Amino acid sequence: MTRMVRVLRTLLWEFSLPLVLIVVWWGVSARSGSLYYPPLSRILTRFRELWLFDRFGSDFVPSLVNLAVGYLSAVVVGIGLGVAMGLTRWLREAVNPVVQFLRALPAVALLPLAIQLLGIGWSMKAGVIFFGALWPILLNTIDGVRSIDPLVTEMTRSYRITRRERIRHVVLPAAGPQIFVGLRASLSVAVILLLASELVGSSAGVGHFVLQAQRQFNITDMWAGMVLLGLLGYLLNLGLQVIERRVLGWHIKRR
Amino acid sequence: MTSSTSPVVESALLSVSGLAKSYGDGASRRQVLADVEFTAQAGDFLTIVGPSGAGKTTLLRCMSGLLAPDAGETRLSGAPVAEPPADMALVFQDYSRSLLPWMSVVGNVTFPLRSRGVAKPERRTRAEEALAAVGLESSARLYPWQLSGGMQQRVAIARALAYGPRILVMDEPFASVDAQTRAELEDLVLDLRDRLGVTFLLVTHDIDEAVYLADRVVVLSGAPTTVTAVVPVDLGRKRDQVETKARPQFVSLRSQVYRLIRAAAEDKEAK
Ligand SMILES: Nc1ncnc2c1ncn2[C@@H]1O[C@H](COP(=O)(O)OP(=O)(O)O)[C@@H](O)[C@H]1O
Ligand SMILES: [Mg+2]
Repeated sequence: MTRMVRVLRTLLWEFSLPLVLIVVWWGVSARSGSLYYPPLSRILTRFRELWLFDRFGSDFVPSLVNLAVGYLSAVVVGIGLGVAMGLTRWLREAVNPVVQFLRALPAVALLPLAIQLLGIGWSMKAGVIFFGALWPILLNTIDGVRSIDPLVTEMTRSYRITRRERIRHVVLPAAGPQIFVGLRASLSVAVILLLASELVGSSAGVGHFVLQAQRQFNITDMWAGMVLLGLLGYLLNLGLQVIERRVLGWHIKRR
Repeated sequence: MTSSTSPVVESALLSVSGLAKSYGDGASRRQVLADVEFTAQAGDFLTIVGPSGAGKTTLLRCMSGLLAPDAGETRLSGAPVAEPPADMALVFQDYSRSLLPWMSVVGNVTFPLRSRGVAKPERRTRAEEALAAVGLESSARLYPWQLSGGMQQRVAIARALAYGPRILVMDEPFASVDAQTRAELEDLVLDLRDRLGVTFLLVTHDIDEAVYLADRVVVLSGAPTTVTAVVPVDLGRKRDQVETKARPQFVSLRSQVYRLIRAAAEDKEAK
């Protein structure tokens, strides 16, 4: 019972401000004759017509696939390489200058090169997302692994813990909170790059759709696309939070 | 242990000889261990006592294969120790840092056994036995951070017991718990020695504790450290926090150890 109350209160806090804003937007825009700020009701109608589910498969799914491929490969490479670099001094010292140089390059600046090399297909988009999302994950993983308590390392050595067990059950959980900081930062970078890559060169995708709508002066469609992007970012973040809660339950409860 | 003809080193479970260690180099080089030498017989309860900064932790790290000494060697069951031996388990002073907060109590206790290739059912039974031995059978599912300091140190002891070592090495294990808990834990390890026949080597800076627990007390000088004396403690197997500590023999042993430490310190200052 108290649990229910707590959940309800959390939901109330989470959604009260957005609800207020939506209501205000709805009210203010209701009788709007402006071409650029159509009434929210019209935007939502278009939203339903477009995304449930007319253009869902043709524009939304490709975007989602690019995002997933780019982001998930950044997660795998970032954590894998980060653990290796965090644990091995020579590797860290050898690779670090390259990492510092590459991460200083804004991923958007790489778009022309990526188009040159990979064309404007999905591999270019996933590639750019991968490149941008990699650094926060990699650097945070290295940091997390390096900040493991030396006493814990001493304990694993004295109990002759195998490397595999140590990485799986000590290094990854210990670096976990820091790794999730990187995962969250990378996720927003990934969504931004998804858009950027679709704006520059594309024949499908939500970003492409928004740009097309603007060019053809379908301002309501443009708004509907933007609402979808906002929702996408929000839901992805929420999903990541749910995963974090499950994986780092011990960490969250301890605080 | 009864044979008097064979050299001590051969019959000893653990022998430390000529151990030396310095930290840093050049002008900041500082010698911590000068020449440390002692042995422990199987079934012994050996305590090592010395002032803070004497290099007790350094000694344990060298002995247990965690740190390479500059000179000298440690032998466990006759074999030289180069890396942490499978027959030795360590209990650290800082229990809250040496337990893994993402594992339950039973998870922490069984964790080293997985690397040893112990099958799951046996891991279970060993953990249950070890937790029962330290009186924590009902806390197996909890997490270390849900327990008091004394209980956490019990978990660390259970982990060491489940590992199945021939010698259990403890670095000031009770230095950060309150006096009441400390007395309980002291009696717990004495009881474990009696019931399980494990050899104990316990490091402390507390002279009372060193005498109360030991069959023999190894007294260290201050850094650069050597063994000043090995004091046999003839108080019998059964010890009691009140009765034993009130005995004239205990009091005189305590004074003896105290004088040895003070003499070593004055000796160092004179040089
Ligand atoms: N890793 C290290 N590097 C340099 N000096 C150290 C290191 N560890 C310990 N020392 C120094 O060696 C001395 C002995 O330390 P330690 O073995 O921890 O003593 P104890 O455990 O008896 O208090 C101290 O002066 C300490 O500052
Ligand atoms: Mg110490």
